[in-house]
Amino acid sequence: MDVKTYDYVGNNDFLEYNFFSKGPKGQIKKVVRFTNQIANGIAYYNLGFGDWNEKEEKLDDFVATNNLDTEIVLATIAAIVIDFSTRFPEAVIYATGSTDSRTRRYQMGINKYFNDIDTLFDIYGFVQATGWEDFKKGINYDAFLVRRK
Amino acid sequence: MHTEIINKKVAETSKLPEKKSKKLVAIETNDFFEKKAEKAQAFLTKNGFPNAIMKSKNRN
Repeated sequence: MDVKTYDYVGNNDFLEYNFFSKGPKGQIKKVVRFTNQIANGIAYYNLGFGDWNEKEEKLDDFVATNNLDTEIVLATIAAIVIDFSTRFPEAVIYATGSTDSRTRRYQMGINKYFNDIDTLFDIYGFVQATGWEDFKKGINYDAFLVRRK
Repeated sequence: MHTEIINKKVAETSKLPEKKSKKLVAIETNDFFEKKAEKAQAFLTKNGFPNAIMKSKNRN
């Protein structure tokens, strides 16, 4: 993907990454964590994402950062998913937004770079009416699963 | 006069919220991600996985 991303840092076990969003609101620390779980006998990682709230000293995922860099932030998360899945190539990664609008935003990111993502990952989307299916552009999904090809 | 200024500064400083300990921050951060992970688990337990993943070697 030929798109700008922020520099990110992974922790020792590469289950957590962080980077800084930079914009009119200043520098905002973003944290991405992959939580290993099992459901229905399948091992997977939940992709969790939050903003570090400096004032309250805690993570937040409902605030609108308004740092005018959504695209760079999404591209950075995508780069982190690529890094993580290079280290854990068998990992099944589950992602959804904390709100419907954020899920739509993830979807827009996948749509935009679908051709690049599709060369690296099998991508699935969940629709309430029909369940999981191969990701297709133009359908609104509730959640996503990806795994390296 | 000088003492008044110092007293004022001390009063202002005492109003500042205490910094959280690293331990508390770590606990709250874990809680934040655990809640997200619990939601994911509930969702995937209810809705399952795509067939391609169910049939894969990731199955335990």
